[in-house]
Amino acid sequence: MLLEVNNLIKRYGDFLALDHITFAINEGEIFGLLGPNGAGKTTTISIISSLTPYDGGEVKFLGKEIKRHEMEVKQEFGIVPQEIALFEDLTAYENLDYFGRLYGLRGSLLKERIAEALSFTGLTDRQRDRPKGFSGGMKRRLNIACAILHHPKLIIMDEPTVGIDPQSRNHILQSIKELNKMGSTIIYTSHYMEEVEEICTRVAIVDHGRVIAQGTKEELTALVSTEEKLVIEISSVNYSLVEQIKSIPSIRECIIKGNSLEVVGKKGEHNVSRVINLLAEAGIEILSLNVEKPSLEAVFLTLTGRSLRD
Amino acid sequence: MKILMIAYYTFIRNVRDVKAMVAFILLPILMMLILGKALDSAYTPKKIDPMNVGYFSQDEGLLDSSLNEFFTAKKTKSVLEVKKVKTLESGMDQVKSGKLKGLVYLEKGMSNSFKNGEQVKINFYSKEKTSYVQPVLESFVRTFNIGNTLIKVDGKKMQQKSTSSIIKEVKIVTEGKIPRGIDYYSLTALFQSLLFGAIFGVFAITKDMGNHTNLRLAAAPIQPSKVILGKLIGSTMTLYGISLLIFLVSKFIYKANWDGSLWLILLVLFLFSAIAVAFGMILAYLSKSTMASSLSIFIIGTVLTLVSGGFSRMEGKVIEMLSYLSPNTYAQKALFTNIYEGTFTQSNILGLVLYTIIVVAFTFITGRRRVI
Ligand SMILES: Nc1ncnc2c1ncn2[C@@H]1O[C@H](COP(=O)(O)OP(=O)(O)OP(=O)(O)O)[C@@H](O)[C@H]1O
Ligand SMILES: [Mg+2]
Repeated sequence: MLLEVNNLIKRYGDFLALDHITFAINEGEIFGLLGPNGAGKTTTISIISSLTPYDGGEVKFLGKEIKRHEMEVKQEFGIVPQEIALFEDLTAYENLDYFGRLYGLRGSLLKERIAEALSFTGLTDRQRDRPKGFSGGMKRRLNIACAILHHPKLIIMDEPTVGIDPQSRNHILQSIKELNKMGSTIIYTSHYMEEVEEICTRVAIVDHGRVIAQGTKEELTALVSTEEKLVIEISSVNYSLVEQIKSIPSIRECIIKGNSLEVVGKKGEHNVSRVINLLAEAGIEILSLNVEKPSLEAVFLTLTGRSLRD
Repeated sequence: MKILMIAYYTFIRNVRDVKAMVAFILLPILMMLILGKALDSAYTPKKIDPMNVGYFSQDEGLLDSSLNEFFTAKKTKSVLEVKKVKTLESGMDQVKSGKLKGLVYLEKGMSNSFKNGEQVKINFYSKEKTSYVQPVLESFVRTFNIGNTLIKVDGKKMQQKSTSSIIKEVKIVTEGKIPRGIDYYSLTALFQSLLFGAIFGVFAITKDMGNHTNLRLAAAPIQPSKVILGKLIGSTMTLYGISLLIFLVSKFIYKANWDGSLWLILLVLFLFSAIAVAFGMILAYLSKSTMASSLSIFIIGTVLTLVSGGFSRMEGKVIEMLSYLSPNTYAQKALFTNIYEGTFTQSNILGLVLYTIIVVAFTFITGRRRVI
């Protein structure tokens, strides 16, 4: 276990922001913390980063309680705050120099790491400029660059793609995967379910300060998915066909949407082949067929009765 | 190392704040000019009654005779009532008892030393700190020098080797010089604006709150006290630099009196810069707001300047007690005594050092609280 979070409790006055948060992260993972606004993601991360005191529970890094080994543990962390955290009055290069030195780098190694971080985030050309004139995406990238100079064991990223264009966002998601390949373990918080689905190996879903479910994406969706949904695009729609499909015992529902049929049925009952057979017998051409697995969104919806992005 | 890095970048960031830099360099320079000019007369006596001064000379030469002549001149007589005394001791006694306001005396062989081109001193003793005998003597020295320069040019009798040294200014040792308005306000305006320079302490904290860089600092493997110290050093250096610049301007452009020990001046300016910056940091840590801190600095800074006599000299027991709450009091007294009496006042320096220690300690106490 690289990081263990056990029964973390945090109160703001009477408000219980974290209610026995528990999860564990293995080395090499990209661990997602998924939850809506105010779920407690940032609070959790702040506690792990020793920025915020907490009221109960414990956090261990490589088996060491972080409270007691604060400096040692901090050295191994790279922090990407939710808010862009850059010196507006220093150039990109100076920002990196500052934070590199703060983590004990110096001399030629520091220069090397700065060059590496700049090229990794595609900012080499802008190193002499101050972030004031940067686009949102560039600031986000520099925000990440500042956290990776010292090659941290654990990179903690709090919504690193908020408020940027799809292209920059893609760039960042790819870099995160790359950082992971290069050996860093990553905690990634987001309320964008798609991002988490795309890059995370394991996910904890957080709501109202509690972990309501955790596991791999497959494990999570399995929690809620006793059904599956087929979306079949066909050449012509035939109402008697709909009745026929509905008469299959394992099929619960069949509706027409434009040129498509949406069929919902129990999992593991060979629904796909049964429906295809029926269509073939009726001489209807299948233009496309898609089996939709439940998403994390659906998991969240099922577990909380709310949508992630209310 | 990390401390020095933080100090370095804090300094750089301050210097890049062009608006703040220009404001804090120009403000005191303008203030000195305006206050110094407007209130010049307040520190120079207007109507003068002739003052009783003793004169004792062991010299029997040009200087003695010239000075005698000068004392009996009509112009001098209107301000000085000179009475010869028999011995140095009796003259001193009369000064001590108050019969004489001061004593001018010449040492033996002064005229000869002077002719040989050596630098000589006209001695003047007085119990009072402020005396206008000094400028009177200065005017004598000036006329005397000019007179002798003329002798040198006309009468070819003068020794050849003393051509340049003869016009050397005669140094007068006194126990009381009169501070002019510009001298007084060079000091008080400097310290007032340095107090306002506490804003650099505020910036060191609030800019990082606005940037959210305080999160990174708090998450990095460095003790909070080292971050505080780094910022304190960086901003103190900024303010110290500004104070030295103002010092140079007032000394060389305004020609304000900055005599006395240079080391003491440098020390006082340094301690005072540290106090101001630490004070700003405390306000920023407590209020977490640039606006609230600036306003507090303006109000508190004005009050501290006021009670220390920075706008006009004030009298009264209450004011005097209040004045000891102001760091300006210690700094101004330390430098005044240094400049005008040539003495080193331990108590004022000690007061300033203690003040620094207390304010810096409070900075660490308020700054060590968690950021979130
Ligand atoms: N300093 C604070 N004082 C009081 N309440 C706070 C404080 N910080 C956070 N909270 C509350 O704690 C809860 C969790 O906040 P947190 O910032 O951890 O949420 P989050 O999951 O990061 O949300 P977001 O997606 O908006 O960043 C919220 O209800 C928030 O209002
Ligand atoms: Mg958050």
